[in-house]
Amino acid sequence: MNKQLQQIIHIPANPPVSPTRQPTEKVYAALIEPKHANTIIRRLNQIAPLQNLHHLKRIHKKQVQGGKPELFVILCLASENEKQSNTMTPDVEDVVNSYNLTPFVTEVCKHAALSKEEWEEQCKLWPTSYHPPTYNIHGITGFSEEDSESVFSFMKSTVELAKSGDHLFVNAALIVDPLVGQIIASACDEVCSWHMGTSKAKTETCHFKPSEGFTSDADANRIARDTSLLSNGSSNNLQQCDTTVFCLNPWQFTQQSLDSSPCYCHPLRHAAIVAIEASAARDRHLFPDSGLSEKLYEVDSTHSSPSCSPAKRQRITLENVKSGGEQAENSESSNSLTRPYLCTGNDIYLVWEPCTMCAMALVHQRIRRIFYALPNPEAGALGSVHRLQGEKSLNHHYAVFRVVLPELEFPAER
Amino acid sequence: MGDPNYDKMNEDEPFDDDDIGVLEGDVCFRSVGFGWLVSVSEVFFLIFQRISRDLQMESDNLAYMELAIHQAKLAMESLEVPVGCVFIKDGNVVASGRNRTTETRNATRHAEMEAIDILLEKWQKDGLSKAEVAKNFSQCVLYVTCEPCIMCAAALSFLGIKEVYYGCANEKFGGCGSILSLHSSCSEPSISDEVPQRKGFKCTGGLMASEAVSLFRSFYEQGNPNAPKPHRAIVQKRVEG
Repeated sequence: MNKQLQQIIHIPANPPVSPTRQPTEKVYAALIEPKHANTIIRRLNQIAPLQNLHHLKRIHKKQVQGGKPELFVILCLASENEKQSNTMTPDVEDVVNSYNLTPFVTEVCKHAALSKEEWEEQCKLWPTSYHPPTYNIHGITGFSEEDSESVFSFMKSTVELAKSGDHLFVNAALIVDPLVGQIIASACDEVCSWHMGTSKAKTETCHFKPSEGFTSDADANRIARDTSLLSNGSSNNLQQCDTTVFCLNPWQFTQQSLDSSPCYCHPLRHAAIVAIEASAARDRHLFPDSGLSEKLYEVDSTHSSPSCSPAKRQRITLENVKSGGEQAENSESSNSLTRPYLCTGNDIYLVWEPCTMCAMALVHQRIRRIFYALPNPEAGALGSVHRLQGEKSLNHHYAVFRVVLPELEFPAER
Repeated sequence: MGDPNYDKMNEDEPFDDDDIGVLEGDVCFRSVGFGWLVSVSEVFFLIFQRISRDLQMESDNLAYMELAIHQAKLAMESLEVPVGCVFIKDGNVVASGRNRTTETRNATRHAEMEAIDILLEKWQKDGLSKAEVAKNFSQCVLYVTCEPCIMCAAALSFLGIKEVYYGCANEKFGGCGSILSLHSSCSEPSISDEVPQRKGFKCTGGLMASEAVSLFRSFYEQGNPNAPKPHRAIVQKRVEG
């Protein structure tokens, strides 16, 4: 990886499959005369349609050096069982005989390509078609100059937020509305500094002393390694905090069990979770009338016509409340004021790839895009250990990007 | 008692090998003279004790899950997706929670998260040390009406909880077997010895699943007023177990 360049890398929903490992299927193919191509294809599409293999192109055009291109056509699927030699239907045999073809068995890719890279490799075997993801999340197909600048700038702000002096001791999160370039919420890990009811405590004021059994185990070495790498190896200052970024080792709460200092600790207040909480608080602050509308809805639902769906009714009620008793037709036009559903349309910037808990929390809160700067090889849920953006059963999917910042010193990547 | 899940739980309960060992040894030792009569009756007594202990455990499980269901009903009354839970430590309810996602506009405020916060606040107020808090979590059993989602299952594993009983499976987000298996401790073979120790927990599904499902059903039948715009009613939820 070129460390000189800052870049944005899309982390796809599926791990890239090496083309040599993509499952293949055997088909009968044959060289045909270009002048017969149209009629043969039309006939084959009728008598031997390529079911479940719609990504395959029927024709494979091979350039031959110093000559005319050669056309190959897929006749039909070949049997998996090689002993069962005659798997062509009489109709296909008919075509073979009437055009004097010489069928041979070849391999094609069984599944449609999931990425451009996969597709390029597939085509080396036999041409296929590739349809980029239909869900259109801005950025998957690349960023404009302006958008990239904005992404880099937000990411740099996030890194600054996480810094304590020269050290990156905590993860930081920035929730952004990309349409207006506005920061919705920002937060750091609040695991070691949590006080009941005061969520604004700063992480820098860490209440823990290094625990006794701490320096001996592998865990400590790992943390020391991370810390020293992140601070350019200039310091082994572990006195400030005996912990580091919580998404990197979320199990540390149960591991450092020798600590007998009073517990000011909330092991789950990772930066992303705290940021979500802050965005929810902002939502409640900006749209305080929603609770009222729910009460109205309850009353409303008992009196209005049953033909109106509850969801629709609630929305109308909400708009009425917001337009402050204006005419109904006026509230129709004020649709843009409607409260967004959770963080729909918002982006989050994180210094580190989030752990499973945080990644799923971001699914729940309907974040649109996640940008992180540093991978989390041991607990990351967006490509490292799990890949939540690729879990089809979830009811929401975000796009994930890694933002490479050359000024960040990376922990050793594995 | 006609609940099929009830029988399922019996199967899940592993038979304790240690008990058998002790019993057989006992029988051999006393099988001279009339001692055998005493030991046979002892055997029956121990078996009876074991059965009654199992029955007691089951009725406890049901009683705790009833409390979780009650929490779910409270959620439903507040127009929240009906999920509820209780944390049990040493046989006592130490915290209960219900889903609060709509009220807080924070979709992470699941019943489990609510109850965990209550516990942490309580133990912090009591002045417990971090080690004591960790120890307490390792003695807690969670009863929750629906399989913990991926987020909650991860959180429970981070806290090192002892055991989880859930009602119905969560086929969209479940983190205890449905989508991911975050409760099993070594799902990934560790390549490096520096890999953080993953904490697993024992997890049993299907406890009063039908009650949990019927709550969901009545909630979605009335229409989830808080779902995003293109919403459809989810009525069918398959029951695990």
